[in-house]
Amino acid sequence: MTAPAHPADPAGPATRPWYVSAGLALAAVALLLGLAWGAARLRSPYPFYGTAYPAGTQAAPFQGVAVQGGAARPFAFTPGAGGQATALFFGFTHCASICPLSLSYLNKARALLPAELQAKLQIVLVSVDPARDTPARLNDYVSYFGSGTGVRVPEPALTQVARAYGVAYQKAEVQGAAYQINHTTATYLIDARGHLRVLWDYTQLPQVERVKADLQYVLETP
Amino acid sequence: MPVPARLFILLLALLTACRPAPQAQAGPTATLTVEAARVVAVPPGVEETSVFGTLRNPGGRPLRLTGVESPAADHAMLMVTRTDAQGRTGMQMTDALTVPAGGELVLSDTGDHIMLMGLRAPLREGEPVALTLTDDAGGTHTLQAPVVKP
Repeated sequence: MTAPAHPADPAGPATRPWYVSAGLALAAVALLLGLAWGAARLRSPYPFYGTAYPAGTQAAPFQGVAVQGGAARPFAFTPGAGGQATALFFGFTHCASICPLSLSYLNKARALLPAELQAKLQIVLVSVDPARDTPARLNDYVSYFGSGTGVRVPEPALTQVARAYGVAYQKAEVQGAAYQINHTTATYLIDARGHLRVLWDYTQLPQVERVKADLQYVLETP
Repeated sequence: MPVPARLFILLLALLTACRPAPQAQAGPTATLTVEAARVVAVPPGVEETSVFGTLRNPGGRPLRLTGVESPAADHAMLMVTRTDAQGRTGMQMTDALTVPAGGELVLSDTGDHIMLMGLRAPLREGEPVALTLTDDAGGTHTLQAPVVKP
């Protein structure tokens, strides 16, 4: 009589059971993800939808001409002046798609904010086409899509302003038609202390709820 | 009649009944359907704008669009969106936009679209703009896109 044979243990006695290995692997992955998340949160304590700037990044001031109170007057942009935050965008009025949409979405995102915060945010468009964009034309354009200020900064000052914000722009000839300008399509958010806080690419702006959340955080925590 | 043969005939009858009616496939001018077509509203004095929407090609062959015209503008162009190494984004004319067989082509500000240059009159919100697309097989596709403020 032999005892009933036990099924042989497929793994040798010295090997770890598979579930322990799997558990360890999962723990390692979780730890790595946790560390990555922690590092990201250290760099930017608020999980912005847009791309966050390092703390204390000073925004550059600039001067131009803009329609204010119905007439073209010198416009000096001093980041954070009057406790205002600014959504700054570089574009041009002969722009067929990116600029109208950017202005529309920025206005929509601002309109979602509580009323007292809406008043603390101005939208500013700086033209990368000063040859064709007069202050009046810029004003008509910006006003059509909501409210804001359209600023003409003449060359060579424009080159300096663009460089300060990391904006590149270049004329592009169009066959048999008016030229276009290829340009950096980001919108820069400057807080009430004059610091650059976050930028959004134009492809992100249609997510108005998420842009609004970024705006609200920056307006509430300058 | 033996059973297998009867079954076979029955099966054949069923198959013929289930087969969808043949598509009215006009070959070179396969129908193109359009969804959410819209012209971006721009203020008076601005003479450039874009047309967005979704083009669907129910046909069995890719539809290669090679031209576009509109009575609303001096020039209508097929465009692609390109970003260069310096991060500059702009629009470039392209010879053709393809709507895949049984698929769709989304026209948007971030990708392919139609551009209108030299608008002949200020656009009014809500009014329809006529566009005629031509394909490389000689077919024409006319669509109406209303002016919409984004």
